[in-house]
Amino acid sequence: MQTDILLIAETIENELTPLSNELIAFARKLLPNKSGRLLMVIPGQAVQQVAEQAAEIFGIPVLGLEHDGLRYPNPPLLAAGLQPVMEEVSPSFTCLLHSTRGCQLATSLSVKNRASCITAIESISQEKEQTVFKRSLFNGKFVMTLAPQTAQAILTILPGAFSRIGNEEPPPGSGEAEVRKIDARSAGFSPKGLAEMEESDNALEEADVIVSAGRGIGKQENLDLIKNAVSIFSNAAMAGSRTVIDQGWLPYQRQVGETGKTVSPRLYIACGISGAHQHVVGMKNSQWIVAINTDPQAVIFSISDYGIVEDLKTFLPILVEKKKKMFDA
Amino acid sequence: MNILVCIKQVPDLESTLAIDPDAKWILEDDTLKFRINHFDAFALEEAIRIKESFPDVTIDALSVGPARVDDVLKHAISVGVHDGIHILTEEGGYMPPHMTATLIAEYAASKSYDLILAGVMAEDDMLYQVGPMTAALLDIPCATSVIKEQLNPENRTIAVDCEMEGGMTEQVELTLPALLTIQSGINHPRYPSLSNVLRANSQKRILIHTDTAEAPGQREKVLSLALPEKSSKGVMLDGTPEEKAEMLLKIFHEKSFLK
Repeated sequence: MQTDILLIAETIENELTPLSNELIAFARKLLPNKSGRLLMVIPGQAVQQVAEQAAEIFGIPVLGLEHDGLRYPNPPLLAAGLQPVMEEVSPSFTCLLHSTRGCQLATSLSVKNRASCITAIESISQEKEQTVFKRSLFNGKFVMTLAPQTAQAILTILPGAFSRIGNEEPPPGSGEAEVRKIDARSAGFSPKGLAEMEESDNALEEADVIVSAGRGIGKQENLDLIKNAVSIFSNAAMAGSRTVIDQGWLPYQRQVGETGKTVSPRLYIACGISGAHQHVVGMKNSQWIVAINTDPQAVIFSISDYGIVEDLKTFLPILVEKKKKMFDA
Repeated sequence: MNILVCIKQVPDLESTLAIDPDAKWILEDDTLKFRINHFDAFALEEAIRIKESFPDVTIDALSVGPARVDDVLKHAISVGVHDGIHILTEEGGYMPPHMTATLIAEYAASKSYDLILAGVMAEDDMLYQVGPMTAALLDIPCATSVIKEQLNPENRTIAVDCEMEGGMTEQVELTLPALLTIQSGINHPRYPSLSNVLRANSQKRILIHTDTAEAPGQREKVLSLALPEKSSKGVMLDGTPEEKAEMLLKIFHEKSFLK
């Protein structure tokens, strides 16, 4: 049976976002026998060049969709512009990135095409001749397996989950690039521009050791425990998960995770951090990971080199005290 | 101006969770505690702040779920919402986003809400779907992951900052009626006030009965819920806290991390 796959890449100011590569890796996993067609759509304001490059690098056909309104991410405009392509290709799987905009576009395509919608996919497998998808729930404590029940399925893939597969394989076909101007409107949705959040603090980039606080910290005063733990290392800095930054306890520049910084220090100590994907994606490439958490089920332990089931509020003071006795005497 | 805030009741993620015998969802027994979805608490607070700036605003809160969901609607009234609307389902468990979005959209279409707010995602299923799907069903503009908003009632628009990946934000202007999904950190949700708690105790919620069997068919089938595969890369340190601290310090020392 022919399996046609549509990949929707993302651009910002006509540049492909780095995660767009992961769509290719995902599609190759989704199409193991290579008997279907792949088509990558690259939306933007002027994408001729980027479409040609992508077709050459990825070895698949690329369709650029151009509209002045696509200079900035514009999910409703793109959904309208994609609809004729959806009808033309009638893809079994339409794959997007699990990003803020990707998810919004996915739900909109799902409604327009009465298609199933599975978001934040982490892995694919075959069960009884059907393709099934796995995704995390409850901060990664459980994994749900879902199967689409409609002829078309809209999928969003979790950043990082498919980055390392398929790179070694040769491209499945030859690539040509075509660019179309689209005639669509996004009623009531007008992007005004993009801004980068201020970044002036490089402490996390420069540190060998990062001691990071999560929800388990409980209250602001307990940040002193993290600060004291930082002081036992030779080149360390304090960071936090989104919860801690949302509370205003640490500045945004110290946020690690999907919507904050991606760090890779020699040692990362996660204190009271459950290990939700949004955080893990920002620190999993650290050389050594130590996790301290009261919950033995916490997912953070599965990516840690050393795990300690303790309350950070009792354990960190003991650690600091022992350090003084063992090494500073 | 009328605002609808969609709130979900979720299991307390800090409590011990187990898989139910069907292996389709978590076990919802008498010991399981529920609370408001963290992200929806930010949406609720944002609605109340809008009302404080524009006094002619009325806020309704809506939740879909079994009888226990009444608690989050009561909470919504106790922090300042006008009415609580409970779309009552017979059972708890996993509800597909398309079904939830359809029930919300059907209700909202029968009213004239100028603005609909929801949390960016639910902490339990982490799908990020119900908000934008509801907007798509209602065919109204939608902005997701909103970290700032400014309502302009005169020209019926709302200007928002949407958080994107990697520290970027996008500024968007939406025409009302519109739906926003609210990201955490946009505000600090307040505690209930005494007068509103008293009102929440006496005021009835608006109950809407629904037959989920008649709701649209499931577009995705849940095959199983399981524990994640353990990647046995790591070592769990055992012993007293003191022993664990000593083991850890020796490792840190060997790798010359210590001062």
